[in-house]
Amino acid sequence: MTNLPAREQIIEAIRRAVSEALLIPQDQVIPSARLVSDLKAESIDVADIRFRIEDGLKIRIDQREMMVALGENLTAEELNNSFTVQFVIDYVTEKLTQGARG
Amino acid sequence: MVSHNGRTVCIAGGTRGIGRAVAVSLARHGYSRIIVNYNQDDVAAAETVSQVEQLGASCHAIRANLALPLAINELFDQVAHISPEIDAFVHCAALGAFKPLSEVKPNQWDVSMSINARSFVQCVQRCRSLMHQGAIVAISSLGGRMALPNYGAIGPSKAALEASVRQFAAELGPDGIRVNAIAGGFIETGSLISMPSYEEVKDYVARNTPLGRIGVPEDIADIVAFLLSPDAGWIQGQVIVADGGFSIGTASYGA
Repeated sequence: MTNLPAREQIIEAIRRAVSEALLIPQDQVIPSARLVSDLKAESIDVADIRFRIEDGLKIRIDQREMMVALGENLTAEELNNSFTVQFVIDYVTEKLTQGARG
Repeated sequence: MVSHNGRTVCIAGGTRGIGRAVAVSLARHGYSRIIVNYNQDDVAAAETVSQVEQLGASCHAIRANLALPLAINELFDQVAHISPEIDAFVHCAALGAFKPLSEVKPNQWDVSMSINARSFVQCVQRCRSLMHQGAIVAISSLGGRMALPNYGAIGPSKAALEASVRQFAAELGPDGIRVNAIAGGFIETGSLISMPSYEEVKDYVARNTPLGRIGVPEDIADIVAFLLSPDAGWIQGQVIVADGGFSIGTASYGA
């Protein structure tokens, strides 16, 4: 069984990844912040954030699977609204929990 | 019927676009064992394995994120486990943002450099212990030598890739390892669809290419097969431009 990082550690790793990739202070990386609309992340930034989280938390994130988890058949605006820091925290936590169970 | 020759190739970024075409082309050219690396797309990886196996070669797909040096080390540990010796390595992996250099952010520069250039260097370093003689090909692009619209992140990384090819060619040539690159022009792959004004650029390039069309992945894959073959045995440290003539500057002829 894999040791699961504490939720605080997961949140810290994700906030640091977003902050360092986008060159913004960590206090702007709040749960409700939308990555694309509010934090101005471009597609390569999303990949970079994913790489940093994968490296920091030693997990694999499938970008396509993550986008499906956001919701299927969403408009671009709905997708942007759903793609928040909180979503990433919840998604990564769930992935890590699944890994620990497996 | 393909006659297989016992040779093994490893292809970084080998399951989509040019990389998949290279895997299939090398299976057709008789490679017996093809190891393809990928990062994201399990479906594309399975499809590539299927296409290669239909040609009678064995194919192994290994997931590794080439932005991460530790992942590259793990990739080559797995490659060595599958095949203690390899005959060829092809680097097709690429990632970048289509935007002007004036607007490229530091992390975007770093991501482009890490995938497009640094991973090539680390892969070749790891290949050394597996390759006693053989050939290496890197896929570059015209942006490594020409200023192109929205190529601000990718162009400089391809220039670094090409310089690394020359450097390795000098260092590894005495050991019987040839290292070359191909600078492709506008090649129609899924990764270009996010390019700004994609359709207009595609149309412009086709109209201004003496051979009258844009490129397809197979155009590049067949040159990879040639560069890896003994027929290219006297080519070392070169960047072969394959763009249907676009870069010779015939736009003013008003095609």
